[in-house]
Amino acid sequence: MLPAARAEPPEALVELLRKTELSGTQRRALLLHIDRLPPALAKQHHQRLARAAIAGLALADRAQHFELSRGRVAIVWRPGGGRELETALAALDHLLADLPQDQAFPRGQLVTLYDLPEQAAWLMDEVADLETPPSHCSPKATPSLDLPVLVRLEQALAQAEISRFIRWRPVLRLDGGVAAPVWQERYVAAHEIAANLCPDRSIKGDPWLFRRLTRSFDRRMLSILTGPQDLRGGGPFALNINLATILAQEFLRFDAALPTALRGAVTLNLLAADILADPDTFTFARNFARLRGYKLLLRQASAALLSLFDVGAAELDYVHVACTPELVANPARWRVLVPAGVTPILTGVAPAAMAWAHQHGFELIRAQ
Amino acid sequence: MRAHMNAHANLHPGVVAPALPTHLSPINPSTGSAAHMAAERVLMEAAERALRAPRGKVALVLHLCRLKPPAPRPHHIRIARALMEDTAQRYGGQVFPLRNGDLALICAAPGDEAHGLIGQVSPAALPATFMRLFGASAPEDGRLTTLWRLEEQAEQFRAFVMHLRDQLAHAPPNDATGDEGSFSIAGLLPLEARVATASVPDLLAQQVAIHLQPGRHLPLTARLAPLYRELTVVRGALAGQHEDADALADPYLFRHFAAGMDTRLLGYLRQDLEHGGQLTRGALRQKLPLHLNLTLQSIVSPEFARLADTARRTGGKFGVEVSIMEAAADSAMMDHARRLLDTAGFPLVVDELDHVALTMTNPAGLRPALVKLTWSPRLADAPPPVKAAIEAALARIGPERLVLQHAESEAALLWGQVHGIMRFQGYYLDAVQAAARIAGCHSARACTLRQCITRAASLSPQVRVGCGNPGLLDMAPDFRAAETAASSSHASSQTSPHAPRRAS
Repeated sequence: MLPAARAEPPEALVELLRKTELSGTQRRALLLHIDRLPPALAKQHHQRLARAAIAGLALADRAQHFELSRGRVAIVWRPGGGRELETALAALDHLLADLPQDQAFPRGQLVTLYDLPEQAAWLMDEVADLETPPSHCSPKATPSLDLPVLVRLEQALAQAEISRFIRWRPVLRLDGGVAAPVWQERYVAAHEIAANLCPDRSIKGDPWLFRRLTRSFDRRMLSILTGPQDLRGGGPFALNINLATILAQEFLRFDAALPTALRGAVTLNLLAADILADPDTFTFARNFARLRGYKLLLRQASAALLSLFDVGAAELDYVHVACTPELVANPARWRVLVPAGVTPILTGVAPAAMAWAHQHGFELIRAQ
Repeated sequence: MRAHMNAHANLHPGVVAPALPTHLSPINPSTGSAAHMAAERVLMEAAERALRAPRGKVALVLHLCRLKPPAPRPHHIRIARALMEDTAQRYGGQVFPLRNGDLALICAAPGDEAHGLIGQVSPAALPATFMRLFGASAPEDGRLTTLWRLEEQAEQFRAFVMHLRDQLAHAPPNDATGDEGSFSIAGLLPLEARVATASVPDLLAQQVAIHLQPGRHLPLTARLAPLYRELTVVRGALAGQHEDADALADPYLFRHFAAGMDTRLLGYLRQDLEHGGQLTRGALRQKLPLHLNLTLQSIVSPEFARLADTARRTGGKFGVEVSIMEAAADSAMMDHARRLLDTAGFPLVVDELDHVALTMTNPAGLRPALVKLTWSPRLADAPPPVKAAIEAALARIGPERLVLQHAESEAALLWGQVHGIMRFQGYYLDAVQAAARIAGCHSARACTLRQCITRAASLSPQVRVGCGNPGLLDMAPDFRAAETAASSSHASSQTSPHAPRRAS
């Protein structure tokens, strides 16, 4: 076993590497990547065995032992006639030989050897990578949604009663000085669900895992809407939804439950990234939605997005246009970006801006 | 559309089979043995009953197996079946899944074909409905559906059913309901560990794109100049021994893993660049840009800034490929990434434009150096209005900026050149390049073309074992077609045990 008392911190290793580079002192270094042990050998006693395997190196000439992050260990020594390295590598091979044949793991992934001073920079980089925390999340920032948390969330959502997290906001038609509601937009308040189910995570921190999570929201929303009470007597509405959901059994069930009065009065709100993830599936889903009388809308469309994504060619009915200072400064630009046949819906409109919206030809708005 | 909920139990004896005893109920899920009853026999029985009283009845077959690949996908089957079941329910009929994947329907057809409410499709309107639904995936010449009015076309329909019985007697039963095999994302957790710990080169593949420069006199003197070398994460290698290939086909989950890989790749490349390693050797010595597929998150990360810095010091040449889906996901972050790429001097390449996305987007607005269009036979066989839209989109981007990727056939190369595209990437060109390598290699006596292609595509030492001249694998040959005309003729056989040798 490595004598813990003699272990030095990463900074000491960096210092030593600098010195060998400057003085040209010949050394060898071994870096043991404990964190790369294959799953079958990732138990604590395996980690101890791996450390014990290289413990003999600490007896080599001028050996120094460094403890790095993630349980990694580095040993630096003066190469000479000793057989400590061979013994250590043989011991590691012995440990890895316990793995079943189909899980064979090359020793090269577990240890890296460096000739100093020539390869000091390599090892220095490894240490720097290991010791610098990923800077996109500052120490205070909430950690992102990750896969294990997503697994738990998806399981929780399959059972959870989420009707209290469903929100409504009206889309209004501006007619003269009057704003009359034309449909209700229904959406799941993701942040509130997250605050309940995983308060310690930033739910949108990993944008792609969040997109994946919204499919669970879709399914829950549709099952609530398909319930006996929800659709009867309700007026026209819009849903934020993923394309994959439109083609799933849950949607077919919802479609079957849709009262005749609402047929043709439901809008499906899509994201451009979802459309472009599989455009062929999008065209099929769009054709299907059309057959069943749904309208289609592009969400979160900025000017930049509309110059990249052609809502007209995609044959969508509506597009959300955010009421930004950029828009207020140059309302004419939207006439170019939103082709004829696609109706813009101005979103985030402050009460004071309604007259402005009407004056510039926006017929539909979604208030702040 | 209630029928889908219990797709098999939707029998309406009132119209189609007035005297059908329940024990004959053909595909009732409650009786396991009946479910395995030959669908064609059930159809025949139903057909015979219908033909005994054919007045006002129709039969319709939806030939899903004639859709253009990759259709029919599970969602195609699911939706088509739901629509058919809906019509069956409204018009007192039944749907029969056939063994070749097609769906058959026998039901009543109302005398007046007046248009129903939205979404209520009469049997006579189903052919047009399915053509609209499948759009460009449908075969052109109306072969998607066959409709028989049983009163007038009894014999034709009977002949069809007989033909089916003979043709499909030994085919496996069609249990297709369009339901995807569900996978649990919990099973993906080991993958997360693999992304964090696996050896980076083992997860990577590389491919060289070429710029075809026609000779002045003869096509055979065309120059095949290497354009860039692209590094990609191999989904199969990432999935490893886990049965997670399906999960990685989910674009969202794959991007999550790709973002994790990016961080490791960027760090690895930086070290490789500092020390003249295998991955970046070409980018340094041959000045052949190394293209990386990066997520926007990783372009705005400090790891990217560090690589850019190292590239500036060492003179390494890189390009960054961003998928069109990423570019559309977050315009503000795309804008930020665009500026970082400009600062780093890394050209932006818009990637993963397929034949549909091509006509729905205008990537030229992102000012990319190159745009990568994915080859599909559907580019070439598009109906006239789509063809016009494709040509307009190509003109917007400009052929000099386009790379046709997955150019895996002569048809692809031909279509590209007809449209002015001279930059290509794909297995076909890998074969041509391998032939050129073998022609100039002193250790290639025992090598097959396929071995040389596979080894050059991989960065894993295990795959490259057996190559006597591994340095050559990472050198992109720059040559004229005539020089290797003899060798490349072997490209089609791909198993040539002794490729011709020539001094280059």
